[in-house]
Amino acid sequence: MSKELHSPTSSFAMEIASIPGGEDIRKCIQCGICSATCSVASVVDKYRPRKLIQKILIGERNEVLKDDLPWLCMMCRTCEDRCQEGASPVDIFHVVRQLAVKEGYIPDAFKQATKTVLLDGWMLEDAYSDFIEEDRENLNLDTNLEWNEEFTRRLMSKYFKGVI
Amino acid sequence: MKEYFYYPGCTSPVRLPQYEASTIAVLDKLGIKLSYLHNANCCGAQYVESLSPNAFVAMSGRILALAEKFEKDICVTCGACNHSLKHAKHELDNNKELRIEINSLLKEEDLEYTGAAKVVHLIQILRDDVGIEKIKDAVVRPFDPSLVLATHYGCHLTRPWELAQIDDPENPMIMDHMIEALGATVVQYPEKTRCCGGPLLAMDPEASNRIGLEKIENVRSVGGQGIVTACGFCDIQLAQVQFGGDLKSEDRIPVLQLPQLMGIAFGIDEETLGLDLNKISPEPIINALQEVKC
Amino acid sequence: MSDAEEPRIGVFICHCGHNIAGTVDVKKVAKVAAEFPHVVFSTDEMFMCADSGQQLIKDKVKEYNLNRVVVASCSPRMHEPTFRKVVEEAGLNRYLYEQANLREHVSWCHMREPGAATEKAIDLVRMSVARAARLEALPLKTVKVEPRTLIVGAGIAGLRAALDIANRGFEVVLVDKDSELGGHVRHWTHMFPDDKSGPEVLNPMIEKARKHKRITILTGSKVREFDGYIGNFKATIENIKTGDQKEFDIGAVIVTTGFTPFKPYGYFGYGEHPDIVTLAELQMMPPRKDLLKPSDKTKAKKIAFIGCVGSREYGKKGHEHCSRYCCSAVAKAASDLRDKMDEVLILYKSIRTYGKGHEDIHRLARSKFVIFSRYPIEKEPTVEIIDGKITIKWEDVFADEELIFQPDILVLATAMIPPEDIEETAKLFSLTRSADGFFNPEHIKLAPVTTHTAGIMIAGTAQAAKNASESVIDASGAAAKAVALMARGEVEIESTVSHVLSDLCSSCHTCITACPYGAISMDESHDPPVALVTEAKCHGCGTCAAACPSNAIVMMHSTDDQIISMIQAYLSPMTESEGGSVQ
Repeated sequence: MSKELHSPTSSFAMEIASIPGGEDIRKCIQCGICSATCSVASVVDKYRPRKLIQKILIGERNEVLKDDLPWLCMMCRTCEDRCQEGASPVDIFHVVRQLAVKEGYIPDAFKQATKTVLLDGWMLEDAYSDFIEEDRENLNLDTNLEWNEEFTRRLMSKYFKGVI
Repeated sequence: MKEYFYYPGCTSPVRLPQYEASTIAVLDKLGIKLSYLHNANCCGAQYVESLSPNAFVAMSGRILALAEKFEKDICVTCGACNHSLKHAKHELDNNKELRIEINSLLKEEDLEYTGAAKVVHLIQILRDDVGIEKIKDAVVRPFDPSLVLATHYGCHLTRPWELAQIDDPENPMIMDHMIEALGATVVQYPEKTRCCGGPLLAMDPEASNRIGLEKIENVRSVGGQGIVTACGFCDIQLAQVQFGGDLKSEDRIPVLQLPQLMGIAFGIDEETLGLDLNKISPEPIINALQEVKC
Repeated sequence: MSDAEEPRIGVFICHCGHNIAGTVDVKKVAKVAAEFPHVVFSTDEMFMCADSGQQLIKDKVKEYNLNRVVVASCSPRMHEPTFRKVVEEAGLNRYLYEQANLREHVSWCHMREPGAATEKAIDLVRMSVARAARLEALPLKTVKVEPRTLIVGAGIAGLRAALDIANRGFEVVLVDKDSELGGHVRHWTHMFPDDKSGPEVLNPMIEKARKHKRITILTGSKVREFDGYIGNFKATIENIKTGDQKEFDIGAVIVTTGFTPFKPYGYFGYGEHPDIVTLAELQMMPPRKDLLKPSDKTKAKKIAFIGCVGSREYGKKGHEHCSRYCCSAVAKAASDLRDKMDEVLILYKSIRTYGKGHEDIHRLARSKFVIFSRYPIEKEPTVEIIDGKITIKWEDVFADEELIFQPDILVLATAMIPPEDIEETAKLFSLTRSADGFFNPEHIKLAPVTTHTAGIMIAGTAQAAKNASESVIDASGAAAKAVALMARGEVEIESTVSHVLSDLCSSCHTCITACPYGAISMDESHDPPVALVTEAKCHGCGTCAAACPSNAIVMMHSTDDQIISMIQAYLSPMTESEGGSVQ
């Protein structure tokens, strides 16, 4: 039983282009400079920004939104710097991530980190041990920066309801 | 004395306090006063940034509004914070609807964003407020030119150019020049502008390590004896990766932040600079000093 | 006209910098040559073709009263005309000059054997000296040029050339086998890079041509007979329907017979379904608000293009070339149609939107969400008709995925191939063709619109696949060549031609059959008729002289006597030391 073949459609690309940051999907000519430049692509075989963008351009919406691949981008923006058409794969993948979240897919690592930062107001509350406090004292640094968690908790309920 | 708020970000306070200490000490020597921005929050880089663009701008926007309230500009030492705050400023300055939305959230704390506070990275302060000449003058013990160092700028310091406005993304040299002013030799190495691999740690730690190690190898291949950083996150990553992979312990090269390096040349003592907290001992660098300048 | 006086030969051995002197001991050659029969001056020089070298010849001709000059240097194909001119400026007939090739024939092929190379050089110079002694002055001839150009094919190239020539004051005869002017372009609805239609581009030109008093237009007609030589051609043009014939005296010809769009039977289901069409056929559909399917005239909502159909097929004669126009044409058509369609898909091997403004058309198509999908060269898409629907299956190289698509219309961008009657045209005008089937230019880089047949030019797609703008560039170039010819009013022809000694001719017709240029005919003024060479058509190849059983043909500047003297000079070197001459 062979898998049913996909028929290309431009609707997914149109959807991405309609969200701020996703307009660049219209610029890609599949030249491959992004894949050639990408640090992640050089160490992770399955990750190729050009391939991911072509998947968007032919309308593989489900596959792209349920995959880990768009979350592997490091956001280093080297591809953006090099793209000959002035497109930013980083911005495109940001939009993909937002859509993925809407459809209910977030990698665990991202879910956890986001939850932590919104509840605590900053990332490393749990890691701030006594030893570290002591190190800071020895260096004559402020030991209590009074990180604010109230604001980020409000953001959690406003923007992330039902998401994390 | 010029004054700035210091926003250290999430990582440095816990993982790299020596970066903050050396930054404060060096800027103090150069006539700049830093005071911590209390009651701030995470800038929202990477995670919130991916999931909700508006929440991201809100988080960074609050930091800007805080600084604005107490009428001081912000100094950052982390590359990601540099990008987040400048991105938020750009969005809030140009998107009226977004500004209204964020300000409605800030109202509860009696905060408002109007765009008065500016954001600069440490490197910008060193270049624009201090200048290379003054840095040179502050050197008490120059490094011996036999000390060969490599620079790592990281991604968010120089990219995207339109937002960062710090140096040429393809050929950044500002840090290189500052280090040369300290007497050391700076060497160029393959793929100097590549990412350290840090952001990939969450999704694929093995790949992240490989990227970082490749950078170390590139530096070693041209005879670099140490790496100088301008981002806390990169600093941690480049030190960390040397403890994995095939790298022998004697082949590890020290990683230190720019203000630590400067501090040594300025004659500031090792304790103040927190050199003993660096994971890979910077002994060889400390020992590469010339005689005291008269 | 032979020289009765004693030959006084000057020999100039060229170093050609390091090219010859690096292998051949040129000083030795010059020294030995000084002893050859009839040589009164011999020297070596760094660069004979430079100003200093040329002046040296002129000076020595005067000083030593030379009446023959031998230069031993590069191939005559490089500088024979140069040195002939120098010799002429020095006051001698240009055909009293002989060149020995010490570069391509000696130093460049015997680089590792300097000793043997020098010996060979000496042999070649001795041979050239022997021939030089027997050279004769030949008369210089010119022929007049009829101020009328025949343009075969009235497509966009033909029209442009016709207007260019007529506007400069010369006559044009414009012929087309079609009943309408404008060739293929008149059918195109959308041209690129700007948005004009074919008729919009052509109509102003057609109107001007029709009105122009110096342009004679013959549509529905073909060139039936064509004869003559540069400046003096005779063309007979016949009306295909009525059979009426007209004769014209022609000075120059421009062949703009164009191309034909390949009909790809056997490719991608062409011919199996009425909604599978070529790009040419798509262009010919009358422009309307909606694109209708040819099969049932309902609106088409999904359209797919496949590029490179019948082009770039390695190993398939006549289909190996890239047709050049198609990538840009497909991008333009896709971009134009996108607004009317739900989806537009382009399957491609490459995207070659190379021209001015073409890359912007590509970008426009992309920004309009035209889907571009690259298929692998080794695995082409398959097209089947399933339940009456056109079904394409292929592998997308960049997404690394097998895909399927059922368009309402499938458009195949097919190759530009030569028109069916190109062989006929080639024979008529003595033109050769290249591997892609189109006419050969004289030189692909340096002389792209002239041919090896003097006076006959080619332009537009008759020369190679290209788009309409490029055809117009060709046409103006060819027109300029034609005008240059006609403006001079006369043209020089080579005197190194064959000549029939009518007393010896036995009227056997062998030479007429042998001549590859059709330059020999029977002279009816003699009884019996004897062979007569039309010197303007003769290329001096020597085939007739070799074939003539009666030895009745002389090759001017390559007589038996001159050639045999070279052979004898090579085979009997010992007489040289005795100072005697070779008989």
